[in-house]
Parts: sequence; structure tokens; C-alpha cells
Amino acid sequence: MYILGVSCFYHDSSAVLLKDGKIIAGAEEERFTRKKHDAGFPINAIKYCLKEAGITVKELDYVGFYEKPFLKFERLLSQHLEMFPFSYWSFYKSIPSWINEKLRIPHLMKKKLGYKGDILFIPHHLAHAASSYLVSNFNEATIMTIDGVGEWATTTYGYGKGNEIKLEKEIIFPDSVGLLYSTVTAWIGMSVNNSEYKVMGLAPYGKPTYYDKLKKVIDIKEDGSYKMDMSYFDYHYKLKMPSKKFIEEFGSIRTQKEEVNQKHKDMAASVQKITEEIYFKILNNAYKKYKCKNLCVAGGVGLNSVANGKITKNTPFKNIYIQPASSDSGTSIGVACYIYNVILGNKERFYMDNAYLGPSYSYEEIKKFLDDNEIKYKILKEEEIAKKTAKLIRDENVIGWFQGRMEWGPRALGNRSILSDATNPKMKDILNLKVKHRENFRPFAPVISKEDVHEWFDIDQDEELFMLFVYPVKKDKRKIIPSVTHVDGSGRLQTISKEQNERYYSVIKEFEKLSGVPILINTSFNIRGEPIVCNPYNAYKCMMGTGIDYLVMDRFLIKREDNLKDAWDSEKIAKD
Amino acid sequence: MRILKALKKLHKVVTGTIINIVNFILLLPVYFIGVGITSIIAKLFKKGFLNLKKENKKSYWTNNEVKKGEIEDYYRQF
Ligand SMILES: [Fe+2]
Repeated sequence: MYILGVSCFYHDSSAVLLKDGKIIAGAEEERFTRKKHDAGFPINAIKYCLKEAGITVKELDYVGFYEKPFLKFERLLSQHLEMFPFSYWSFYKSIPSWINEKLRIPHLMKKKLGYKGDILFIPHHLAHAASSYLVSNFNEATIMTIDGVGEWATTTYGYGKGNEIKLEKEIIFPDSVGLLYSTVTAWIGMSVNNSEYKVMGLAPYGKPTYYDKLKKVIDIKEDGSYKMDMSYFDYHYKLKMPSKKFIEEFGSIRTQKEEVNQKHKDMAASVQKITEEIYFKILNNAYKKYKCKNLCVAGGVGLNSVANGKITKNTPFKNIYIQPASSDSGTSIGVACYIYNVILGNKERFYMDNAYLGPSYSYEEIKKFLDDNEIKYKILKEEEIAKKTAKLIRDENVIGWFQGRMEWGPRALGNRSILSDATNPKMKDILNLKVKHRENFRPFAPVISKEDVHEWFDIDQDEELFMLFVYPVKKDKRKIIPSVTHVDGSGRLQTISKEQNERYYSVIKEFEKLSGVPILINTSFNIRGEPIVCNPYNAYKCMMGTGIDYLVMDRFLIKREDNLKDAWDSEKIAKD
Repeated sequence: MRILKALKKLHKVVTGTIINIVNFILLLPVYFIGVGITSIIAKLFKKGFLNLKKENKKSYWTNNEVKKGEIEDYYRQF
């Protein structure tokens, strides 16, 4: 039985294919179109899923969509009815896409995909809840979903047991902690639905001096429910987020020319504190009700790895599962699994313990690409790959690491990664100079061999599969791995075992032999402002447009310096 | 080749602008008559569409009314 889950038209479109209850393929559309956060119909992602399964559209048994479009449209109309006559510009900007696309999903599926069957529409927060709980390894769990907004709901909690899910309580639009975070992101002069993670990275540089002022904007109850004073916001009827009153209270919106200053850092720290307060209050309240120590989180706010890393310290929850694409792109998983497990009643659930759901390229395909383009390379023996890569990393090189199937979700987890030396104090600057050109306040993340994690981090879990939790680096170790230790002494780590990804793991262990440290910097393999690389062409182009020194693609070792005929400057096109 | 590319770009800009102008004009009556009249009548009857009022309740949680339904319920877009 084949089930296709689709999510699109808000941000980060994606598609996932289930075969007899197992996820066999999944990808975000942006990886194929090379348009970051592409919200368009995920035709390329769907085609990839079908190709991976070797089937045609006709063989799909069910197709599911990640929300109820008419309910979302009802919310949109309500916004205009409430705010008339002040919302015309937003009405004019949004209505055409509703008429042409969003209200015509079955028509689009037929036109773009050739799918003529019925479509199942799963309520958005239920799709979020399913995207985490149904692919977790828990047989029962408390569930919290928290995002910008779905149809109406913005925050929910409930319970999953066996193959059943019940979301019991909700907070609805316009009250939304996700949109509050986005408003502050916009106020700091960063892009909404994109740069919220930068605000999270900025927070440790500040003090939550605006916390009390923000409390005037949002009233938080002991049970985690909250209500916002909407006079501080414009997002319910305009295309901008903070209102005039917000600006009067907190100061003007940062312009692109203006440096990020202490005020912005303090505001980031304050909104992070508010978010954590809501997070933990909801969870403590939900725990009182369900008394279950397993927790599943989903929704865009679930990508807040700083808050995630503090859950076990601030609540009674002991085991936490968050699916790697916690935001909207991940709902296509939720949709497909909800159809299979809940609607069709199949009890056996799929446990998602890795994120390698995307396309892979064979040795022959990569060789053909390299030969056709007259790219110089060396072929390594299998046993040489890890040793050679580790040595290059130790020698201060930046490595593009392209192996196996592309990751699902926003994080590179060892198949489309840039790897470098975490022990080198200069490496953050080197990476920023050569490739990333990031704001200086943003940290790089560590990957560590699973068995060593307790020696290096204060972590109460045995593994962290998807880089969704920030934990403190042990105090005596911070100086040893300066490039992955954030200003507050923390790191957003990934653990990896031999069984999960042998080549990736082996590089870490070989690096340990050279340095005594089983940790590398792992950052996403992409040009600034572009999606993570998908195919060999993207990877090679990225290396030649940046300062990446070597590309290890399957068993091929490609040195940038040997191929300078293809060099170009990616910063000329870089956005963001 | 370059001319062709420039023409293509120009064509895109021109059609985009025309579509925007037509949309703007067509949506004006929809908004100011359709949405406007409904909104005014609703407000006369004190009907609100979004909860924007300040209130101080003990809890702001509301019940999620989504029940697990039959498969037919999921075929609906609402
Ligand atoms: Fe969402």
C-alpha cells in the first residue's frame, strides 16, 4: 500500500511516501528547485518519491494534505471581516493565490500530478502531532504542538496511545507564541519564517531586560495558556508584524545597515525567556493531566533547540522525541502516517531513527558526472576514506562531505555536511571566511560519537539523533572544543553511532586518533542563503563557489585547487 | 540570444504588472462591498470574528473540537 503525504503553499513544501507503513522516501521541494523555503507545489519532491519507489501516480492508494484549506480560508476571511477596512492590501496580496491554488488542491493534484483520486485533508495540528508521535518509539506519550498558525490553532496539547491521537486543548489565532517570536525576529531586522533560529543563537549574548515589558504584550497563565495584546501586532491584517505601539514600546525596527547591538541581543534573550516559560508551563500542566514521562513535540517552535534542551530539567518528562523536520515540512510525514495508522487503523508504527530519506547517487552516477565535466579527482579505497578525511580536517581543511541519501529536515546530519576541526579555535573564523559568511554571533554545531557523549556534554539522554537539543558542554571540556562551544557554554549536538552512519562515524573516530577528541564541526553543506545541496552538481558547484578545500563524494576525493577552471564567487549571488 | 532573454524578461514584467492591476481593480469591489457590508452588518449586531478583546481569564485554553472521524470526514476540505 502506497500513501503520499503532501505539505505546501505556506513555507517549506515537502512530500513523503509510505510503503506498507514504512517511510521509504521524503524530501523538501527547495532541494530540487534550489529556492530556499520553496512553498510551491512540491512536484519535484513527489516525482522523486515515486521514482524511489519505482511506481507511478496510478499506484498510489491514498494521498493526504497537511491541512483543511477551507478552514484556513475561513480564518483568513475572519481576519478581513474583523479588520475592515484596514486590511485591503493584505487581502489583495493573498486572495489571488487562494483562488488559483490553495482552494483548488484536488484540481492541482490532477493538473500537476495526474492524480484523479480523492484526497484526505488532515487538520494541521493533528498532522504536526502525528509527524512526531506516530514515528516515535513510544507506545504512549504526551504531545505538544506549537507553531505560527495552522487553520486556527497555534498551540495544542494532547495525548497519543498506540495508534490513536487526541489533541484536547488549544489556543487559537491571533494568539500565537510562534508569531510573537517571528515579530521579534522581524523587529531585529531578520527575515520571518527563516531567521528565528538566529534570534535563538543571539539570545545568550543578551540579558532578558525586556522580559517585564514583554509581559505586557503577552499574559501567561500557570497552565501555560496565554493571551496576547493585539494592539502590539499588525500581522492579523497587514503584511508586517510589529505595530506602531510595539515600536513605541521597544524602539524602531533594525535596518539592514544597522549593526546588531545590545538592545537586539537583550530582546532576543527576553523573547527566548518568554518562549521557554510558556513551553515549560504547558508541559508541566500536560504532565499533571496525563502523568506520562514520554513527550513528543512538533511545530515550528519545536525547532527551538535551546528550549528543548531544558525540558528535562524544567519538567518531569524523561524521554523526548522530536522529528527532524518539526516545522511545516514535516507534516507530510504526519499526514501519511495518520492515514495509515489512525484512519486505516494499522497498529504497527514506523520508528524514524534517522533522517536519510532523500535522494542518493551511485558511484557510477557520480563518476559519470565528474568525467563528463572533466573534473579532476582521486578514487579512495573504502578503508582510506575516513583516515584521509580525518587527516585533511586535522590539517585545517574544510571538507564538503557528500554521502548516501540526503537528509530530511533543515539540518545536515552527516550526508550533506561540511566537516571541520572543532578543536581549532580559529575554525569558526575560517569557516565564516571561506564558506558560511555568517553573523559572528552564530555558533557552529558539534557531532560526537554516541558512546562518548556523556564524557563531553551534560546530557540526560544517551543520544541526540537530529540536532534538536542544546546541552551544556562539560566545563572542563569547553576550552578543548572552542569552535563548537557557544558563548553560554552550550552546543547543539548530534550523536552518531556506527550502525546509523558508518562512514561518518569512522571519520570522527579517525579524527579522535589524531586529536584525542571524538568531535567534529558539522554544518550544513550549502551556499549562504541557498538550500542544502542535493546532487553532485550542487555539491561541486558549492565547493567551487566557496572556499571549501576538498569534496569527499562517495569514494571520490576532489580538491578545489585542482579544478580552479570552475571557480566562481558564490558571495555575488548569496542572499539572506 | 541576449535580446531574446531581455524580451522574455520584459514580457514577464509587463504581464505581471497587468495581472496585478486587474487583480487590484477586481478585488476592490469584492473587498469594499462583499467583505465591507458583511463586516458592517456583523459589527452592528456586535458579532466579532477574531478574539482581539483583552480579557483576564483563569485559563485561555479552549477545547479542541476535532474528533477522530470516519474516513469520509477527512475527504472534506473543512
Ligand atoms: Fe505548522
